[in-house]
Amino acid sequence: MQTPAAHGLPRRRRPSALVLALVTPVLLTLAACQAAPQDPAADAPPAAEDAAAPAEQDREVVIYASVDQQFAEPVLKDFEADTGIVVKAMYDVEAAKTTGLVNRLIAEKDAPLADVWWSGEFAQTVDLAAKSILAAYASPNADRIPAGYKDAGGLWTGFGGRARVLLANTDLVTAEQMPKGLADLTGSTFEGERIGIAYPLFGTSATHAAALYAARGPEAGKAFFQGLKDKGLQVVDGNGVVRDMVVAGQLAFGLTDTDDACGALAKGAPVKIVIPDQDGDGTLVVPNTVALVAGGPNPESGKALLDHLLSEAVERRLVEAGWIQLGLSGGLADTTCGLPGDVKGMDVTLEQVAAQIEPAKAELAEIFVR
Amino acid sequence: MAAAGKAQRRSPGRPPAWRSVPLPLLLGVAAYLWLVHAPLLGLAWETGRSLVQHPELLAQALPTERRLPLLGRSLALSLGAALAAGGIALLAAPRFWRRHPARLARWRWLVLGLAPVPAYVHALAWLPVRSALEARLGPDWATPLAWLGSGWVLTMAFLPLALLVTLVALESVPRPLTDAAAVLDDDDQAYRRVLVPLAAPLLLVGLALIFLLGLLDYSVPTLYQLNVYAMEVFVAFSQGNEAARAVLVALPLLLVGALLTLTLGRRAARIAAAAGARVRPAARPLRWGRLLGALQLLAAAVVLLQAAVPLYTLTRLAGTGGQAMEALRAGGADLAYSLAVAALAGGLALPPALAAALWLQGACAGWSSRGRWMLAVLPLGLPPALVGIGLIAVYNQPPLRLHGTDAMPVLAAMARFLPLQALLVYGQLQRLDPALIDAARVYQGSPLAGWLRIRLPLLLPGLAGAAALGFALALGELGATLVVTPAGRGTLTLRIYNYLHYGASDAVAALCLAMVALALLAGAAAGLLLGRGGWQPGEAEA
Repeated sequence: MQTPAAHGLPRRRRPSALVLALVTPVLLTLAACQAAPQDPAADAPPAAEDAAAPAEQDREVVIYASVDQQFAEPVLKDFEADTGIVVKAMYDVEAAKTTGLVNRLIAEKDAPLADVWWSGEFAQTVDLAAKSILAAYASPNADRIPAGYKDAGGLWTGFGGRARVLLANTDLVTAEQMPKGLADLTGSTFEGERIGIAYPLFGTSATHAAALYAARGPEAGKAFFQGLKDKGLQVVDGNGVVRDMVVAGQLAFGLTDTDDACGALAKGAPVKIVIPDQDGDGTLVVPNTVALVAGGPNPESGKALLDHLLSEAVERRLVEAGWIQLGLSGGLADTTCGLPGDVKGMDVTLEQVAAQIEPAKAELAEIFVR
Repeated sequence: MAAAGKAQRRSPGRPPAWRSVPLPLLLGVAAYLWLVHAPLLGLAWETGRSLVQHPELLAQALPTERRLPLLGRSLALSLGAALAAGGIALLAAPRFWRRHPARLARWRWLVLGLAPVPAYVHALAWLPVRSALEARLGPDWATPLAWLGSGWVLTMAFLPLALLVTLVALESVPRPLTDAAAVLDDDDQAYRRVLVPLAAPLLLVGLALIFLLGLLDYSVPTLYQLNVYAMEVFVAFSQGNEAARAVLVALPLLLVGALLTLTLGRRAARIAAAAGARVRPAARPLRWGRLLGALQLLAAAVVLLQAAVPLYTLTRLAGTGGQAMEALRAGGADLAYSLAVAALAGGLALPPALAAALWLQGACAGWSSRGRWMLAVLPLGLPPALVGIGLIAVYNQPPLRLHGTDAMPVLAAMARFLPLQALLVYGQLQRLDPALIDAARVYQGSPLAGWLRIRLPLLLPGLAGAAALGFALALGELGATLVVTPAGRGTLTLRIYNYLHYGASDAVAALCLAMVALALLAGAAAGLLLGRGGWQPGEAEA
């Protein structure tokens, strides 16, 4: 038998390597601690006059936002600077089909960690209200919001909005071929593979599908989507993909949201935005929704943040940033991408739409997930 | 070879060398099982509660006329991708192998660099190729191209992992057996008939893990217009927002994982036991014939291509807009947080991974190998978002109220990747020279000193590799991290997916490049830990 030394063990090197392996995570942890969010209260000016004054111990607020981080973050930082209240935010991502934070809220129901819920649409919010996860709060800034865009019991409030639009590549689609409504998704002279939609199972596409079910009736709604399937439309992973494929010329036109469409236009892509069915049923306007989480740890700060998010200034700022393109009051609209202030919406209530989400998804999965 | 195998199999089993530390081992195994199974336990509890209230949900677990073909397609796609990745890795690995004199071998740990890059980024990088082919071949080729495109991208995305597993598997083979075979025949035959079959247990388990990871990915197939079962799970998840529904729909994936690990785990344990009696190896580099050598070079070129294409695309995109630098600046805190989470997940996993590896090797009496392997890797079939929901169910109530703390993303990464790390350490254990362990027993001052001075250093390559792998995979984790990361914190991957949504391709590219650089650093650090060229038991004598 040979001793370890006979095998040539490099004794001096290995302990240092082990030490390195043990010390590195500790150093990295310390680095992360250094990078932890700073308390803006330390640097912030005195609290602004217009903000509600939360209790002294209630100096932070936790928000779950199913809204793109790059749009939400500046708005929340403004709130921090104005009030000195630390905002701890968590953002959802489309890759998780924006189901992550909703399900997190549900999982946390018995011991909530969030104070405020901000969604880029309304169906999930209505569902959360039905599951008793939201608390009522009638923000004074919600007075200007039309009754159709807020819960009668104050569980949630809508603001701003995106609309469902058709985006066409002007290098491929002539003025005569330009689509005018959803009927052109099946009636166009273009082959199905040159037209795209996102899976009508997630996000605003699912909400739009539910709205069509609500407006036309379940049978007509299902028949419409079966028609899209039969024509062989490209069904892609998200509205952003529809936009990218139209911009790249892989699609002649497709159905997407105004934020995606206006983004493409702002980048100088050869595209045209068509608001569908303005002479007919109208298009779906999808408002953002905000709500107070029941049993959240910082209710007063949560209310102050809700007031901030529902202010006209924030709505205008989000229009300028490109997250929303329409205001729910006062004819506010993103004119830079040619949207009128009086987009004709579909004649359905948000509750009617939300009620169709689950049955529509069940049927559309049968059609599209094969 | 067969005779040698039988002879090995007939020889009485070597008593486990680790009996001197039963309590730490048991504690380590218990920690492993808890860390890996906590999400499943949480989900089982939540699902049970939901089923009591809504028993009709149970129907979700039944396969339907539509779901069965979907499941079949998913199985075929992920199996094809796993086999392709495994095949390419098997051919390419010798060129990156320490026993090969080629210079590539020095850089083998850098294969980790591309491991955390989201499969979606690979898909975007290869999408123009698919479009060009479709334009040339016509619409009749749309479906075959969807299959080929999805399969190819998944293969590229999992190739780094496959290569890593293959390298570890090859190095787990006792050299005397290959050297003996090389005496009787040429090196090509020795590789094909001895080395690969002996490495097969680990290779198969590694491929099974990649297959399971592939089953959970829907982003690539849907981008190529191909529906898969993972999409169905997400449909269930978003439909009514009930985790129980998603768990029940995901049951076939869990069952597939269970069956697979049951079969392969048993086989792996049997063959590993047969190859158990090892002696110190002699060494000479293997030399390949023309055909095998050419195939190896071709496969190595594919490995380099899978790295080059996304890196080229990312570099080109990062330079096209003004948002790249801004994204890097804004992502500084997320970068630091990702680093900390990944380092802690990769590092803290080592003790339980080591314990699990010893357990898989048979260090605890009273467990069947079938049961061990199934318990060890079963949760790999769980979709990441459900891992997060399960963790909340466990850790958001007394006495384990950890939800909302920085421990959660670390626990999530460990729950997802500990089995892979345990596998790597298991591979390292398989190649330990028992003579050294026996020598340690004789010369050690105390069991602790023996562990610290002999056994741990001998295991260092596997531990370093496992830590680096855990680090790299945790860096790219998304689904579970999203659900459990404390508010106010964010990881680089979360930020990347946020940017992906609104088409900021330059920002996405810059952040992805930062992540690749971090993973490359992890790979380089692993390489440094092991030493360039690496120390191997017995090599000094060769």
